[in-house]
Amino acid sequence: MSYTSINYLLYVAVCLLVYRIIPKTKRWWVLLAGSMGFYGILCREHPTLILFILMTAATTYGGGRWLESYIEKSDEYIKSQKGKWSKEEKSAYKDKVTVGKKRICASVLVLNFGVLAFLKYFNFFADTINSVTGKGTVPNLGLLLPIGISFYTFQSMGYIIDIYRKKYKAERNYLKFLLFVSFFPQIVQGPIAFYSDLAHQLYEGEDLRFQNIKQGVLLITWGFFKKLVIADRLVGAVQTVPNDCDSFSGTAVLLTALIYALQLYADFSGGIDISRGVAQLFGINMAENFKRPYFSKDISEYWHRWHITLGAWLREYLFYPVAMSKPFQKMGKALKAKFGMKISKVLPVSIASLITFLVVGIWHGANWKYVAFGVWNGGIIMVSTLLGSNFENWKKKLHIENTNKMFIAFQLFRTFLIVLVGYYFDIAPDFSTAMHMMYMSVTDLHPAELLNKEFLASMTLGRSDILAAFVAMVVVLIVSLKQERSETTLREQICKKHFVFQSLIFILLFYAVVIFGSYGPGSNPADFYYMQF
Amino acid sequence: MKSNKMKRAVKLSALGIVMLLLFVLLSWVMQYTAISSETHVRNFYREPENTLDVAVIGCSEMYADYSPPIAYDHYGFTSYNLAFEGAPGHLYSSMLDTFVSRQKPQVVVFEVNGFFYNNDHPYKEGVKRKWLDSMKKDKLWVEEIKKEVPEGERSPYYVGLLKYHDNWKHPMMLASRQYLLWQNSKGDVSMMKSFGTRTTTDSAKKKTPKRVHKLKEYGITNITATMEHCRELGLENVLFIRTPHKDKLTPEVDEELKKLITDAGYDYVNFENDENIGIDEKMDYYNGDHLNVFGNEKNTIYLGKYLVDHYDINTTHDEAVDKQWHECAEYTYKVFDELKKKTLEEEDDQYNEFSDLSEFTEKLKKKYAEFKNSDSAT
Repeated sequence: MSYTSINYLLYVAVCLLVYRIIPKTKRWWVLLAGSMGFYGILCREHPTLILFILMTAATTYGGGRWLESYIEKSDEYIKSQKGKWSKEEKSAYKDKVTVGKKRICASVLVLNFGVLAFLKYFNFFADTINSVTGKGTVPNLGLLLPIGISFYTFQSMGYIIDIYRKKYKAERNYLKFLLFVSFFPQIVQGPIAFYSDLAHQLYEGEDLRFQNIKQGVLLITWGFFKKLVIADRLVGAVQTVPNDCDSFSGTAVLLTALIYALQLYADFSGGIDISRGVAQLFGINMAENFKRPYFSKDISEYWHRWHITLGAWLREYLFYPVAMSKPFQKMGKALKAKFGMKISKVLPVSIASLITFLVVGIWHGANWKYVAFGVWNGGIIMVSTLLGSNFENWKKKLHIENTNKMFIAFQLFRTFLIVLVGYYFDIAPDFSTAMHMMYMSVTDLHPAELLNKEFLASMTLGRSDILAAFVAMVVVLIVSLKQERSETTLREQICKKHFVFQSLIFILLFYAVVIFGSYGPGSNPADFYYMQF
Repeated sequence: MKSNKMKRAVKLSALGIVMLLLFVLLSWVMQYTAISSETHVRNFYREPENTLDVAVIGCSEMYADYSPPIAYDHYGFTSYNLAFEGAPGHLYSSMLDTFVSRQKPQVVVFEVNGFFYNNDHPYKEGVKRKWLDSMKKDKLWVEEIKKEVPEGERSPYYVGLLKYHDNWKHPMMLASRQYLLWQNSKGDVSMMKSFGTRTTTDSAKKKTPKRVHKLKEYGITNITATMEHCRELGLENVLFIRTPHKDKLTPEVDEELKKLITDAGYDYVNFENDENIGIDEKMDYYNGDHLNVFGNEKNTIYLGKYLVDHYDINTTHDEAVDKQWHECAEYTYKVFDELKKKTLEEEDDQYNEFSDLSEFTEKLKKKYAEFKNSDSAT
């Protein structure tokens, strides 16, 4: 049951109806039943995959309780020993407690990330080893990846680390925790939520409010618009050209990369809009995952606007812990002694960035092209951090103001170009093809081909498809520009206007999806791209 | 508080109604199957209930070869060609159900061509849709979709927009459909009771391949099923016919058909070899499978006579019905006169019951043809 199917909308409607009639304190049960039911439907062909999410919830819940009780007991013991211990004895005990805490936390992390890594990367390593040794010594187990495993694992592991950090109390009720892990609007592709942001909203049983329903419906329809009118109309080219790039010209390859930039944004952000819209129907506000990423002036900003919740998770649980870890602090001190203050501050942070992006790359999949994707993004950020002050100096010398429109346009173009290069790693089947495609894109350009109907047809693009997607992109651009200049969301603004205006916007959007959407017999419906991760 | 809720309910209801109306409108506007098939079926529902004496069911052979108004003019019985292009035999039962749901025919005539499809044609989506999308959206329609379409694929049949929404890519096609449907909607009933022809004696544009018809499993199964269905409905006067074709059935196939049908207690006549009709092979066909207006008139008169001679058809009707049928016959003769001229000129254009033969349109068509010719010459 895809998020863009009528069945899903009916499912949500039934959940909403039951949620409405159930007493407030019991409403989380409806969300839990809805989430488990939805996940069961997703896994109906391989029901055993449900065990993985139950296992993740159970181990994280158990680990959280154990960790909390360990911390509480330790704290009580320290209190009971007040005045009896020397400073050294207290410190030694605290060290012992920290080691114990770390062991509990690490065991949960290793277990869950281990399962994720095993399911995601075993086949890759088996194939690599077999191809290196030339023997089929390591069997390919043909492992299936449970839907949403990356998202629910990241979300759960954030929770256990927060318990370790004593940010909040561990959840007492396993079923409530299971709901946090499996909340159905976000289970397929996020957004990844922090427990402190989401859990209380799930358990509160907020009354259904007309404002929330209006805004939720508008957001869902907007998500459908992006997914069905733009992403699914263009997906054919993305699926065709990279797999057989030598049959196409460099123009086709470059056009495919450009199309992918639009298609991926429409696909992923459209899906997230649907998720957030459905959550809002229940009065649950989920974090934004996209803030108009192609308006970014540098790559760092881009990663603060694209897949925001993954970025926030990585910053919170990977980047800062790595950058502030003892080895990095030692490295900073060593660098300070040798190269001075500037390098000692910038280099460890740059290396931590590189590590983070390497993880982002590997998270995307077990393939060298994803490693290259991580290195490319991390490397660019590293270089721009290291040379940041030099850039500022050049700007001053050239008398370039940050507000200069030409300079802003240059920044936007430069950032998009960097992102575009990264996309080649994403669309190509492997690393060498990605490099080959980049080479083709600069050496085999014939712009006149774009006017040839057969050229577009060979990329599975009809002129009408391009026209529909182009007009829809213009609509998205206008909405994005308006949103960029506004502090409140556009749907909030629309919902404050006269009912007739609200209705008109909704009707236009709804029927734009109905008429221009790519769905039904003869269409090429594509799963949400991030579903595979 | 209560009045606020009431206001909101009214507003939402209004929005719901607007959305629904738009949905219905779009579903109608975006649909496209084949305009002639669509009108042949839709026009059937415009006939007043219980006014038709003879049901004529089949594919293009029927509306090309037989004219109900001319038969009425000669013999006084009313009939309708419930037929569409490429109608497969397994749909005949459903077509019959539709006919008897509104009419009480004294005789049912089936053209056997629909039983000779020995390929995947009968099960193609486009073929099914010509019938299912043109039917009235009632209980029979729902049942027929359930019968014809596998579970899981039915939604686009129930909600046509799921299939047809992509037709926005063909605005001219949709506009022409609307124009032709508007033409077709003139008057209370269809004047020619489902009709289609080409104005030629040997069409270069719509040639038919030479075919050797064989009765295979599809045909045998579905003829048997159709006859069983007739028996279930209690129909006694059922006639299976083979209309005149250039490529005749072989004597073996003809005999096999005859045996199959007559053994079941129903009638079968092959008009292909009947010289009494007076069909001139060179002048009365527009292609191998279909008669032109000259052939149509001869065949109609002959088939009509066969029906009144062999079945006791009560031709008494209300005055209003007779008046309307007289008008239809008069109109049909006028149209036939025009079409005969055009046929002799070998115009080779398609005409249906909704075709506009007014002077204005004719002039426009001529101008367009001249423009096209000069354009191709340059």
